[in-house]
Amino acid sequence: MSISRLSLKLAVSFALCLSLSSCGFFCSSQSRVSIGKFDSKENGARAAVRRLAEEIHRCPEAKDYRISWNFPSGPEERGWLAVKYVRQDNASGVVGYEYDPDSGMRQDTYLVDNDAIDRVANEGGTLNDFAKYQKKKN
Amino acid sequence: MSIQDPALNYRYVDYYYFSFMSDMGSEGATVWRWVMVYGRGPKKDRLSSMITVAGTIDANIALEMEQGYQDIWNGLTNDEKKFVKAHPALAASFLSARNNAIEDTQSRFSPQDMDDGTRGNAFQHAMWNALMTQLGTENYAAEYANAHENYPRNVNDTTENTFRNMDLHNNNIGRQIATCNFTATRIEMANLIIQALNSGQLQVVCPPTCRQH
Repeated sequence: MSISRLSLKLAVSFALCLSLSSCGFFCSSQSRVSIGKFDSKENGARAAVRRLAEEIHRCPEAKDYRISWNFPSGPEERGWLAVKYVRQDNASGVVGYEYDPDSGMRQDTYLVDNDAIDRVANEGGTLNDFAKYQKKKN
Repeated sequence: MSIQDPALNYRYVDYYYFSFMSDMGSEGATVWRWVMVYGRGPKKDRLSSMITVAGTIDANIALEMEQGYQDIWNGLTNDEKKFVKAHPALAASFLSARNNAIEDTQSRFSPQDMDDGTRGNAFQHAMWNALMTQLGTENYAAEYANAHENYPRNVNDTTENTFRNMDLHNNNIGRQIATCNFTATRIEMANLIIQALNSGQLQVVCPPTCRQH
């Protein structure tokens, strides 16, 4: 096989790999999805919860899920936020915001059943709306 | 990319491919994009870790473009993006170091102890920086780690500054440990960092029980 044909084959393979991975085709133990830019933090949060519900159904074996989005930020904001859901068992997990990529959740977190994710997603809710579905409090 | 690039000596990578491809960028013009795929042998549940860097003419356009690996690219600070463009191979190996640090943290800490500000988070930052130091140099590792913490923020926000200072401190300790133990294996390095954590060298701002549930 000539070098040019080999290069072309490699390039096509890479392009395919990129498109499949970037559109979230494959499931892994960690689901990481970026849903793009939104006009506000709140609209991004609503879309992220909906996408989280979809991801849990699409990749039920994953151990943790992170749905991130970007939003127009002022001079004092990062402009990036993520909803994170870490499973405690097959039926429940902890949901919260991650402010710094891969640094874990901070501040308000809620222990909820998987069903609560669907409910809040259907309501068009954001993180605070998980409060009423919380399983227990310390 | 220089053949002396330290990333090429990355000891944990089993495969490391480079390729160029041409496609239509989001700005509507044909762009050359170079693609790197690397990993540690066949992944059970993932095709591969990969990162793409657009070789466009205008760095500002490239910084705004959504790249092939959107989730990672969109979470980078502008300074991190600039580092990726300046040192793509090294940045890809630093990404691998980050994944390894996360993996090592998950195997040693409970989910509750991996929230921001906790012991697990302190370990993860130190481990990430230690691995980056072994891959490149302490200076490159510091440059990238500082770029990660350099984001717009309210300088008067005490909470935000506390978390950031903790990260910067633990990053620095991780690099120091790696510099003094440059040939340590990954397990040895993790054990050294656990020792630092247990001896109080690493900072923690949130107790393991701080999660509000």
